[in-house]
Amino acid sequence: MPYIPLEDHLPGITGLLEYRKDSGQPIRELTQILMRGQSSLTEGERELIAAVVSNGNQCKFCTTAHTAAADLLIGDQQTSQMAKHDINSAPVSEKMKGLNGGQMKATRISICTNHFMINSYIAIKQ
Amino acid sequence: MAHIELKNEMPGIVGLLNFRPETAGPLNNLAEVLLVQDNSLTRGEREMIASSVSYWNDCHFCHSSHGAAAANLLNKPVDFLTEIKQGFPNTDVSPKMKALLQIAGKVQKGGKYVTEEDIRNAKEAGATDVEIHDTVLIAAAFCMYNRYVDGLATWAPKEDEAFMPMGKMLAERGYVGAGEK
Repeated sequence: MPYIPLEDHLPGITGLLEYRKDSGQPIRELTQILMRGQSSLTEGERELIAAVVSNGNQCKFCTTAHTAAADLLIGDQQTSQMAKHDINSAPVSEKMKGLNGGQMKATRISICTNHFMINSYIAIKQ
Repeated sequence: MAHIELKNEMPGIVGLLNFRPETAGPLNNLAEVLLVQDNSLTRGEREMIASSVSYWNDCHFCHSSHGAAAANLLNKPVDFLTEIKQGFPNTDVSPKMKALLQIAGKVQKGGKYVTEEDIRNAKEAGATDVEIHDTVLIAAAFCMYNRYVDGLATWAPKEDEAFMPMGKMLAERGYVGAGEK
């Protein structure tokens, strides 16, 4: 049960964004820009980064949600499964391996850090 | 040297906000809502949480800039940054703030470290649901900002004194438009 009263029908972050709409708004905007804004990374690749980070943080809600999105956008389920297990074995480009593996590099760090925030925030939902 | 070519000389997150204006807006707006907007927690208290979390994450730029903002807001001298690092040995911190800082410390380790007991202690000390929510979100958001600033290896001045003018500006002007072109 969450530590604060949240709407029952809104799981994970959705209940939190609804609880406090004013802080929810910039979080939504940031996520929209990072995940769906103009980018040389595809939406599927960005969802994969989110899923891998959330999995590393052991955040069940975020991992499940972003895995589902990645699978839909990529068109298969194996890529996300392999990436979460071992990025170097996954059928993704060397660039994507570099972005996901090791310590965070280059321009997609903001997706990773956004998801660290959201994974930590979800704590309030237990 | 930063891991990417920022095309500017600004320190810490300021250089990053300038580099990528598309994400600067929401990042600044989030800080404004969490740290400046009217709240039952004072601005000084909220900057104390932000600066403490940043120190625990070993992020010098964020800890120092928000520590300087806290010092300015609370009319404290520059050695308040040392107080923050040491967990406020010489500062009058309310039981409620102690409990909220405890929660922030747990979030900094990982969201799941927050326990029912931590929450109960905060509520018994008078913290409201919204104050608990905001403490967790400030801590979580600063885990994000800290990783953003350090993950790209931005530069920062070394001495505490160098951050005091920035702290004054943050105290007076807040975060909207910070660093943006």
